[in-house]
Order: sequence, then C-alpha cells, then structure tokens
Amino acid sequence: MSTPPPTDRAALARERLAERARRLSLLRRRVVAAALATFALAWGVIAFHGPMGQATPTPTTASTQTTQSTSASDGSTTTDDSSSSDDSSASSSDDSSSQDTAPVTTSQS
Amino acid sequence: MSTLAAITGEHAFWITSRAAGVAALLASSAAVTVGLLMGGRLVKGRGPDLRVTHEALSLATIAALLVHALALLGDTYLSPSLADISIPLVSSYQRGWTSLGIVAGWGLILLALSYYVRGRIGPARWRKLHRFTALAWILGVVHGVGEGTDAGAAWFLMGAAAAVIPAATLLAIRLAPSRPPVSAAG
Repeated sequence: MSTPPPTDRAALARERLAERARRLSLLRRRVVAAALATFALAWGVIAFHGPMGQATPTPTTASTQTTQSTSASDGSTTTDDSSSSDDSSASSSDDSSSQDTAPVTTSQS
Repeated sequence: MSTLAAITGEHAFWITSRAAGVAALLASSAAVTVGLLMGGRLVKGRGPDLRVTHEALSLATIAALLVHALALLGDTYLSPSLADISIPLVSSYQRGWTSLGIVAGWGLILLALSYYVRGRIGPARWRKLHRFTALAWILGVVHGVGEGTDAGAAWFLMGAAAAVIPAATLLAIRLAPSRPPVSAAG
C-alpha cells in the first residue's frame, strides 16, 4: 500500500477542508432559508385568517345609547344616556335589564 | 385581495410580530433539538454539521425574537414603549404572560450569545450556564401557548407540537436519571 507524497497529502487535505466548508455553508444557507420561509408562511396564514386571531386586543367600544321617548300623558321626555362603563346597575338585577335599561326620567315642563 | 391588503396594511406590524413569534418558537425548538442531539449519543459522525446547524438555528432564533419584539413598537393599537417590550412587569398588557416572554427572550438571546465569549467564561462554567437555555426555551413555549393570539388555532398547535414534542422528548431523556447497569451476578 503506497502512501501519497506530502504535496499530494496537503492538496488532499485542502480539498477536504474546502469541501467541508462548502457543505457547512450550504447548511447555514438552508437554515436561514427555512427560517425565512417559516416567517413568510406564518405571515401569510395569519393575514389570511384575519389579523385579530383568537384573542387579539380589540378596542373596547364604549357604547353610548341614547333613548328618547315622549310620554303621551304628561309630555315628559325620557332620556337614557348610558355607557358601558357606568351602567353597572342595569346588568346586575335581571337579564331583561340589559335589553330594557331603566331609563332616567327627566321631566320637561 | 384589496380587502386583505387593507387589513394587513392596518395591522402589518401586529401580524409581523406574531409571525416572527411563531418563527422564533419553531427555530428555538429546532435549535434545542439539535443541541440535545449533539450532546447525546443518538447521532454519531455528524458533529460539525450539527454544531453549525445548532448555531445557525440559534442565530435565526435571535433574529426572530428581535423582530417579534421590535415590530410591536410599530403597532398603533398597543403602542408599547421600549420598556414595555424589554423589561418584565412594565407592560400592562397581559402582564404575567408578557413578562414571561421577556424573560424567556432575554434568556435565549444572552445564553446563545454567551457561546462567543465562552473562552472568558471558561468552558466548564459555560457548559453549565448553557443548560439554562432549555429553561428559557420552556418559558418561551409557555409564553407562546399562554399569550399567543394564535394559540387556539389548529395550524399553530400542529406546527408547535411538531417542533416542541421532539425537543421535549429529548430533554426528558436527557434529564431522566440514568439507570445503573444491572449486574449479571445479582
């Protein structure tokens, strides 16, 4: 079994090192490509399904309900200005109160 | 298509942050998996390849984490400050989960970057320190499942499971106490 001369061995070693460097560089590029593809895919899926997802922070709209009714008997105007923040009494007593909140009656004479 | 463009335009930063969070979760899980394979005895003869893959995945995780956090700064609804996204217990938005994510993010970033100063730290000390990466990764997974907007979506759960389960299995094997060899004479 013949051993290669030193110059050949050095060239062989350089060739092997270069091959290894190419392989590792390819690995790095593949990892970066996979990470970018994952990000792009996730971006697309999230955008497609809607940006709000499952439990996204949606702005809490302060619903202001204004009801005006005029009584036939005395002509008093009933005004109900209720917002979601201060209307705690309406939802505590019974279920119907959420639909028909007790109006604050102010008489206009 | 124009509706999609309008929706994504308005929420581009929010979507970018979430997508980067998903990418960070998957990349960190893959990095933990490869790291555990390197340290274990399951894969032989591919040491340099695994080391380079582990390093590349770790750097990809850091990049994804930075995008995940910094993209939130552009979100007009939450409009968090730099402190909100970088210091635990500052943000009022889901404080517990957010703080967990911040701790996990810092842990993953600092522990990963410590590789480049392991000469100063000392190889043995760095090796001990590096084990805490698994803890930071677990915190990150809990943050993603607990606070993630997409945590209830099937696509997210399937993707996360595919990435997390192998890493968790390898971690459990690593942490399991090794049995002493059974003596034949016994």
